[in-house]
Amino acid sequence: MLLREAQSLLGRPFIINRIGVKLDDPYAAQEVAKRIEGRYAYKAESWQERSQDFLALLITRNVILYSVVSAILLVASFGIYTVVSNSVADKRRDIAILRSMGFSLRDLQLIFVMEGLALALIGIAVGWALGWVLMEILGSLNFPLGGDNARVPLDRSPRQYGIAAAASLLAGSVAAWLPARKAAKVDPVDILRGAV
Amino acid sequence: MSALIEAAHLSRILPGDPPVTLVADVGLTVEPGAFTTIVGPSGCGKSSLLYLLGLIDRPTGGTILFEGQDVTPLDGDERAALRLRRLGFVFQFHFLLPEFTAFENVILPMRRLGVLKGADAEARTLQLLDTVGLKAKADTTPDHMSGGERQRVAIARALANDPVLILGDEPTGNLDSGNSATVVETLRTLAHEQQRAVVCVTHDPSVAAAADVRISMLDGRIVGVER
Repeated sequence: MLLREAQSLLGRPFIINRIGVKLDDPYAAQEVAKRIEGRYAYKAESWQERSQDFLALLITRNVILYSVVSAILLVASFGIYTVVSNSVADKRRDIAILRSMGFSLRDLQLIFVMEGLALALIGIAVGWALGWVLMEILGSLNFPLGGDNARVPLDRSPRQYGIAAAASLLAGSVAAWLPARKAAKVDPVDILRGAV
Repeated sequence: MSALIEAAHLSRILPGDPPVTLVADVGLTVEPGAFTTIVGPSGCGKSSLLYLLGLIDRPTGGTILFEGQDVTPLDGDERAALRLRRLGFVFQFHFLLPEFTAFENVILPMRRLGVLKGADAEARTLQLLDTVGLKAKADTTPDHMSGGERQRVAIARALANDPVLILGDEPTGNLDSGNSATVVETLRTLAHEQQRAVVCVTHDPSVAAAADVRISMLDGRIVGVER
């Protein structure tokens, strides 16, 4: 539609209030707006500037979201730390036996790290299943907005599951490795002599 | 016959105020094919000497030659590798892994060493259990075995990687006389028929009497050697 025809239709000839520019790359809006302002001396506003409050809200939401997720991961890591730490304490005799057999300190640490990783893997599997169910429930909810039935936009891509698994494995490895180092400090002599 | 172990001026002193001397200026040789016992009163340093010879503990002085190699300066992992390949231990308390069956306990050092794998390792495990008369108990866990049976499984495990030296810390200490005689006979056979060196710490006069070499200790020192 020509500009002139649009003005006639709106009953506002010779008046232009706003020109919208659609870009292939929406994230180039700020740069393009700057160029338009420089070239035509009209005020040009990118969508990011117009939606600054909303974007700030999204950033705040993400900060809260990641803080909560990190806190949950930290608690889970403490769980793994405690389990492996108790396991090292309970298995002091077995550690001494394995040392006498010729297992190296690295072998022993590996055994306990594997225990922690096994716990992390179980946690990942359960977390994936629970996450999938929760997303299904959340995705099925209808929110009546402006007469339409809107649904919560959810990113259910495998990438999200991958990120969750990688973060859990990393946290699990560190949480298991810290107490596993204690296994190397067990002195087999006292235990094998029955003194401990 | 060349010595398997030659220890010279061996000492182990625990730091403290005052320091505690466990082993003082000990020299001895261990030869293959001999059943050697170390005897002496409690606290005389027998077990401490055994753990030094078994490369589990480190001497604070002196040297240990194992098969001609000075093992004193080896680090923890090098000692562990040597124990895995060349040494086997039998303790007073059987020290089997309680969650594992007899078969799994015996095959464990083989799996770690990795020389024998799969069916070969399994066949050797069954053969070792057969040697100590416990093939039928291969799938039994230690808590379902008698003390003597557990100790025989421990001997089978000590033999897993075909060691040249078997060390026993009171291996009959928790056994009745019948089981004790069986264990001693097994150890003697390992020394005499398979040319392994067997060194055992013991309080038991019947075990000491069965030995080819008897080393007497007092206050961390060797005070007598009988052959």
